[in-house]
Amino acid sequence: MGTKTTLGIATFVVLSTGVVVWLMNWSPKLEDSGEQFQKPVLGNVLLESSDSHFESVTKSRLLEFPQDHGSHPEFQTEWWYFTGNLKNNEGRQFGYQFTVFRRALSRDSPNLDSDWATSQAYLAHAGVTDVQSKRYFADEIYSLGALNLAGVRAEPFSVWVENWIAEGSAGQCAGCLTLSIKSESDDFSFSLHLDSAKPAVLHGERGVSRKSTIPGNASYYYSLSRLRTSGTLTIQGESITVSGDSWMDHEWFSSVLDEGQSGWDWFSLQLDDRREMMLFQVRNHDPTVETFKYGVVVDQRGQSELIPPDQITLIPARVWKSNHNQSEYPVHWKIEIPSHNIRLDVESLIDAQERDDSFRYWEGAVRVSGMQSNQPITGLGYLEMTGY
Amino acid sequence: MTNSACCGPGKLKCANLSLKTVLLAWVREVVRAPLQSTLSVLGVALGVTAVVAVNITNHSARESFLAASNALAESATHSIAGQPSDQLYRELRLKTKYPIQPIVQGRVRLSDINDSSATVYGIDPIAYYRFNIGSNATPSSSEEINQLMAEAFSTFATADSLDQLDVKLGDSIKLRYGRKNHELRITGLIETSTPLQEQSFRLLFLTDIATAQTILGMRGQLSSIQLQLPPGDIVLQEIEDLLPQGTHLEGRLNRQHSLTSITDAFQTNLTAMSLLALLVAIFLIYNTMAFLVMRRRPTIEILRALGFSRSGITLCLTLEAAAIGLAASITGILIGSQLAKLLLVLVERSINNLYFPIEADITILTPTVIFLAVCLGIGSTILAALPALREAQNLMPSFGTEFRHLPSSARKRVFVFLISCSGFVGVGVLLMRLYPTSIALGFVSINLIVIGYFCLVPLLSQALGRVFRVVSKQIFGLRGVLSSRALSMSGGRSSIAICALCVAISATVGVGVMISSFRTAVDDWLSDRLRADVYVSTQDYGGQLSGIEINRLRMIRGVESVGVAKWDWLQGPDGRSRIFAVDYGERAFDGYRFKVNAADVWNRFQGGGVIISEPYAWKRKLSLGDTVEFFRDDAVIEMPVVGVFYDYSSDRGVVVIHRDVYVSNFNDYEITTAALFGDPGTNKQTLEHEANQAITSPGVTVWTAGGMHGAAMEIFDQTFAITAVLRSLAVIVAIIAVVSILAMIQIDRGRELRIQKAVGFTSREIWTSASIEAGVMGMIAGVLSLPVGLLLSWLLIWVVNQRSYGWTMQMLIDGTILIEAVLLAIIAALLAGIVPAWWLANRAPKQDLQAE
Repeated sequence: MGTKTTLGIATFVVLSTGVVVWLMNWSPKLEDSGEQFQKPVLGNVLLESSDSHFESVTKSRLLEFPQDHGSHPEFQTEWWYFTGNLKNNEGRQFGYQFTVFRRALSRDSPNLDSDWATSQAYLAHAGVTDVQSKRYFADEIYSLGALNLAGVRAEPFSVWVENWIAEGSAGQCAGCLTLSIKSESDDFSFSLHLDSAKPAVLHGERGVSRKSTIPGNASYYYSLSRLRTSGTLTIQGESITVSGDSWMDHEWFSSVLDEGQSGWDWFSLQLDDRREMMLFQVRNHDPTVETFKYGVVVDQRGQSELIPPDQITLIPARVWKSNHNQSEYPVHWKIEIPSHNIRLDVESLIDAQERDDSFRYWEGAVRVSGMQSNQPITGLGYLEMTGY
Repeated sequence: MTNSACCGPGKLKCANLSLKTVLLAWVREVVRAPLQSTLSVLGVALGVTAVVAVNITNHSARESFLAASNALAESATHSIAGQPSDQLYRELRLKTKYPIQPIVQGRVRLSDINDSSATVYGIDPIAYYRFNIGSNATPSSSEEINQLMAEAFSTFATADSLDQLDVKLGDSIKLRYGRKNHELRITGLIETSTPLQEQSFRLLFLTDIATAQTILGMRGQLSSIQLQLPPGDIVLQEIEDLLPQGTHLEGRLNRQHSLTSITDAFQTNLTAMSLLALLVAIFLIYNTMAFLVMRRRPTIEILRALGFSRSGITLCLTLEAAAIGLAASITGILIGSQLAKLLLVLVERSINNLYFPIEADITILTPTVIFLAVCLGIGSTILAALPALREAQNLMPSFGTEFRHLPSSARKRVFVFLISCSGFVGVGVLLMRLYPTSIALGFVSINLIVIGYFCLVPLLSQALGRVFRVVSKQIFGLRGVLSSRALSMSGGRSSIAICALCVAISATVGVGVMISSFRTAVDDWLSDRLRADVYVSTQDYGGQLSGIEINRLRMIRGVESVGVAKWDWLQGPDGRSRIFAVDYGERAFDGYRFKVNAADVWNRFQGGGVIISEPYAWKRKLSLGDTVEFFRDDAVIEMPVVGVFYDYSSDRGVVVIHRDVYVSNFNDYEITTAALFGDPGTNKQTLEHEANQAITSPGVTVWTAGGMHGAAMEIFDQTFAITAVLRSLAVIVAIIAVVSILAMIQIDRGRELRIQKAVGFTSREIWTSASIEAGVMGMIAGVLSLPVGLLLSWLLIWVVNQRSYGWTMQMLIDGTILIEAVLLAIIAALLAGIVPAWWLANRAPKQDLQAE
């Protein structure tokens, strides 16, 4: 048989099979054409106000401890934030983060004949920075606030999602806590003991921390600005005894950002002279609009002093480009506070400390250096940047 | 193209003909008789159609079933079954690091929509997303799904379901589980990306797990826990160590297997029917090709006379066979997929009746089916053409000489036929003996035995032909002699025709006898079993009859006694079992017909023994003296088997326990069914009416024994409707086979007929003669099909039904089925004979004699 004939027959076979397939409207089983999971589960709803039934932070109230360490379900969102800089005996530096987020999906728990009936969802974030080897690890877990799988208790204090837990008891000073924190992931785990060295700092007006000029866009917010910390970090099987200082934030609200606001830069700085400083700015989508700023300095005895917003200048000095979505995070900031004669450089200990899980943000250990009235200032801290 | 190109192996002498010229001549030959080519294509196509239709049907039914069971579990590798508790889920979350998710699901009734059933599927939205990250089993976006938790009794459904219920987003639907009514508000849509997904989510209401537990009354209980486990026995052990008694870990494949094995038996039966059709189809294809070669005989002879090589002839014939095969495949696929739609409706009805609700309305044409169809179409056509090709190659240029080697060689092949027959039958019987439980091998052996029998058909038909010759001589005189002689002259061809018809008719006999035996068995069984006058039973999932209602039933005038029972599932070490905890009294107990039973079975039954149905005994290899085991909390309850009874209600089997024994062991007083025994002479319709008045629970039906009997038989008939369709298909294929074979025989005998015409036979006489011949063939086929038909039914009853369902029954031979079969064969043959007879009768002798 000649090549032409063979080709002719082959073409005919192929074409007619094609026609049949087309006629039958046959489509091979569609390969995963379904919409991919939209990543943020709690993340992108964490800051959106969806339910007007929740209370909003409009007036100051007297924060009471230890009750206010616990949950405030009448507000939609709440978080307990622990960050810290630690060292081993040889001076090897580490940073850690442990956060539990609570998000209510409705004001009231549904009235159902089930132990699953809850409107509370919890998300926990843990992270470890190994400065020397420039490695950053992060993990998260989330759960419904049912079957005791996640929850919060004020006295004795406890906040947990599955086996990740921060628990302890009230200390001597106002709002003080003695805590242990545990988290366990595939690559890293930590078991730390925290003991507050200073009383709680109430932010804003007696704990009401405004985030914009619009009333209601605010949170109840207090910090334990220095907790002496010791314990064990385990990174990829290597167990390291560490000690250092931690910072705890507890914040609850139903609405914080205006429509025009895009995210924030938040600094918790622990200076070597045993003072602490917390600064944040809430940025706008429109860069020409002035950012909303807040700052506070805590002295050695735990007394806090507000910094007038117009006295705070935060200037990005260097950016780092994320591998995940090409976002550019300012990882080196120049901070000027003329009212206090302070000039600071805040720079990441390692650049890649971006979380890429339920929601994406940069949360990392930073080094502080600078001058105050010709006196050198040094220290460590944590920087959080969202909305980039 | 050069001459050498057409010379094939090159050993043969080439003529001065180019292949192109020959091919053109060949095409002209084909075009000249389009009807003939069409018939050839149709013949092969019908064979392909049968196979394609059944394949698509089986595949579609299976896919929709699997899709339904897997729709929301695409990411799971394993699942914990046996009603795990909330606490077990919590423990697993805390002690293991693998993704897991809890599922609560159950069937409910939709109050507004004719009480039709739907599924409530409860998930933990957060665990669900953690579990399914990276998969596409997404019912909707993450933000929306959180609404399930935000609002109690909110649900998601597909747009299709909303259309079906005639509701829109934001509307509420009313549903009922047991006695409780609930209302779900549709707050979101399940987005589906494929029709299969769409179908598997149909009438499924996705809810938060708390809502599902509330509706289904399952506080603290889950239906299953799904897991994503990495491979490795250590991991499995780790999980299994955490499981309390009563729960067990099963792999997804296992789970699918146990689910699909439910429908396996049914599908195997369907496949059996398609194999019978295929057998007929192969005869048909073979025959069509033989006919084709014969039609090409003059052309081949001319070509050979002109010196065209044998290989060239082979090529031309092969090409034609391939073209026919291809056209037939395409036609077969087209017709087959349409037929599949019809079959699927019937399959769906059967599966819904026998097993569980599915909606299998999507016919899936898989590449495998297309491949199979094309292979069967082209491959078998060419294969079937091989013998004919050999015959064609041997054709020498000898004008006007008819060849008669086939009948004589057929005679010489007696020995071969006998050897093949004993070979096939021997292997078939051996297989059946060696593998007594395999369904697939059961089928293989049936087919081997049947094929073995068909090897004898040529010999038997020759012998019968002689008998008919004597008979027809008495009846029709000379014409009778001519016809029946003609039949034996063209022995090889007519044997094939008889075989084809025989296969089809025997299939109808086999299936007919099987169904009628089965029907009688079921009918008797129902009459025995339904001893009460009126039955009251809950049709609702989770429904039950209250004590007050039972008392009201007892108060009805004319009621002698009321028996109560509960249908339920019990978990044991070997999985779940359907149980029937009954106290209908000794009189009703006598309605059980035992295959084997202990002495004093009633007393032993009352004393804690159980009786099990035949399929249950068959599937679990249990017999008298064995025990069945069930979990109760942390203990295992053992119960001795005191009898195995005939039962056709379920192929999964059932364990019957005396209600008192059940209550004392499992502390469950629920009643789902009540049986009313009336005083002698009580009007059953009155009882039924009174019982209806006494019942207040929703979802309860009241039946008289007769009504129930009728309804059961109706379901039975619906279930076997598909078998009837396939039976008809086999008969149609056979009729077409016989048409073409008879036409071929007549053409083969052309010379004889021409002479008959020339010597003065009228058209009518020739027509009559041809018809007699067809009738004789039909009769031979009919008679020969009876033994094989009965054999087939015996095999179907004892091999297939026993192996697939665990049912045994008496084979009952209904004389009418046999007579119908022979009549069908004769009518089919006569119908098939009309066209060729008419064609022959109307040819002018002059035209024929010119060729002489």
